[in-house]
Amino acid sequence: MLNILVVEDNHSILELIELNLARRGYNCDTASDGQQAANLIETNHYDLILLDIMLPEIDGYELLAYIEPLHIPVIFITAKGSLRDRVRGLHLGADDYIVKPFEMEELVARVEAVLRRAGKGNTLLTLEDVEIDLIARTVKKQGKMINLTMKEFDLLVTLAQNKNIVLYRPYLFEKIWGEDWEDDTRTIDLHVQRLRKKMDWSDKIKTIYRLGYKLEVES
Amino acid sequence: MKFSTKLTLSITTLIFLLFSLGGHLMIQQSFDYAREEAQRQFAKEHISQRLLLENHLFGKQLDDQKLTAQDVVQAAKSTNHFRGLALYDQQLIPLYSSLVMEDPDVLKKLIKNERAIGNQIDTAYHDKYLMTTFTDYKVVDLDGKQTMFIYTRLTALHEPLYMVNTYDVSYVYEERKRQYIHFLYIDALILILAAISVLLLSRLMTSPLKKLTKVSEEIANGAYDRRIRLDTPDEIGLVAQSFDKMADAVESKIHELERMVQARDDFVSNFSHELKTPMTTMMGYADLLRSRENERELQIKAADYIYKETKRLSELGLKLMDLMSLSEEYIQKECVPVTKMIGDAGEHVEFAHVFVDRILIQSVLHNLKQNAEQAEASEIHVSGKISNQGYIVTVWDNGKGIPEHEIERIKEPFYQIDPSRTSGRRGSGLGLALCEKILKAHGAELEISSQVGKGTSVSFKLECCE
Repeated sequence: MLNILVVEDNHSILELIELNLARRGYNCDTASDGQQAANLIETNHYDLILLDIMLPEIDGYELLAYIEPLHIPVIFITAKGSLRDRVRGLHLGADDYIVKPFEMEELVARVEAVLRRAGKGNTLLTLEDVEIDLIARTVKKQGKMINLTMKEFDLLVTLAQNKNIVLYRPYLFEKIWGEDWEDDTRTIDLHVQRLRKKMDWSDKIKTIYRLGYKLEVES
Repeated sequence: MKFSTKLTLSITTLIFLLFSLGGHLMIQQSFDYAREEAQRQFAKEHISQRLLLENHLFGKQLDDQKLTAQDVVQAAKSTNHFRGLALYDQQLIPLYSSLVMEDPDVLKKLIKNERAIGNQIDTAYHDKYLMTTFTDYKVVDLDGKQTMFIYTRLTALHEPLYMVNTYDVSYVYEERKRQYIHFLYIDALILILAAISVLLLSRLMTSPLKKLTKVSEEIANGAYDRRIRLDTPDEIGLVAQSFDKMADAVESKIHELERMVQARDDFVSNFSHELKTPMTTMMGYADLLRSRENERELQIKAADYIYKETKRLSELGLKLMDLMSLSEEYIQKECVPVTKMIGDAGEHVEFAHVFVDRILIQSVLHNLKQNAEQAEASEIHVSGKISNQGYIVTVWDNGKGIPEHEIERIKEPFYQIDPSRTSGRRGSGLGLALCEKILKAHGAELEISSQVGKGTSVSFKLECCE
């Protein structure tokens, strides 16, 4: 399991990030000021650090200079979206930055991208006898390749990443088709049916009446 | 053209012209004098020769009563030893001539001249000496040699005779020429010296102007702190001083503008920061709620976060609107007893009426008390005192106090001393800015004194009324 340190002085955001990363299977530690973060970095090993710039005690820039020699990838979280701030962060050795307000999806995507670049990312999702390669975008069931369309693959990944959780239809539609939900259940239902068939998962992908779908697997 | 060049050219030209004129006048005068001198001397000689000639002729006349042209020539020959001499009869036919060169035109002119002036000759003088002393002269350039023709009329025969002597006066002219050439050298020298000295002088005098130009260019390029600093008491010094004054004014204005821009930028940047943080929270939790089924505990928590942040944002929006719109025109002042705002009169609160907008001042007090609470004060007192300038309200607390270097900044919008946002209680950061603005509309100001660890006291002054 990969360890991520989240340094953010806003409690609600901190909690939110922790929640989202934990759901993706990361082990999260949190710090709400620079001093606390520095102490944690000293005692624990981290694969990635999410760092807010405006922090009490020791600010993000200072902390970055402290992290640099440890070669831990860093993503800046900042409310200052100005070019100067971003460039300064990147110059100091941040691997990426994310500007408030941001969506958790984006944050998670960036975390995964940075981890992959560092050679630490999860590129393989395994669910019982199914293996999903996120980079090659291939699916194998019992070692046998299964042909999926783009949308079907995205649907599978989303369900797999949120296994055993009910996902609502509008969310799924928005995430996979990238369009606003317009009360059109047919498209998504059709894709789910095809996916069930191809994966032979008619019992595993559950329809939750009026709400959405859930992938039920052993965790 | 550069000013110093202009100055040099014009002054040098002027000096040259004046000097040349002066030199010319001097030379001319000395030449005139020399020529007059020569004329006087030669006139004397002429007359003495004439006397000699006349004597001779008189002698002949006494001897044989009759003078012939031959006699005249004889006499002329015997008396003329050194100078050119010529005698002419009335028809201007030369009787005798030893002139190197004849010039009958000169004679004609001289005669004409005599006739013109002749009438003015003193007849008494003429009678007394039985002769005319009228002599006239003319200088003629003969083959490059200035020759002076001196002429008189004598009556030796029964008819008038014209006697002409010529003298070489070219040395006078030579001298003038020599002086001119000599003067030309001096003039050239003066020209060069004048040009150099005026150039140096004008450079010296225009150097402050050069500095002025340089400094004003630097200022134009953004170096607003540059000054000329010239302390000469002349006009250029005055210009420099007023230029410096102008630059001072410009600099302070620029700084003021920069401060204003900085304040505005800070405001916008702080404001956007204030917006972005709750936005992230709200968006994140809302997304959580809408995308999947969550545990009830998390649902409640997410809804709570969203509710609180929304509320805070809406408060922020309202305060911001107050802050923006508040000005003297919108406040409604009336005479209110202080007890309506501060609380009962007593040991700490002296009774008086103050001229204020009650709701706004109450909001100031509310904000100040809230700040005191946030400073973890266990005791908060509000006191009121009548002073000779008005009514002074003080809010005192025993909270953690404000570090000295922060006092300056706490009135700035969005500025918060402890940006630790981990504590749930967090203001908008606009409270003191709003108080300051309300009090400003009342013609008052917040006075803050604080000691870290001991507490803070904030006071302001209100206008008393009957």
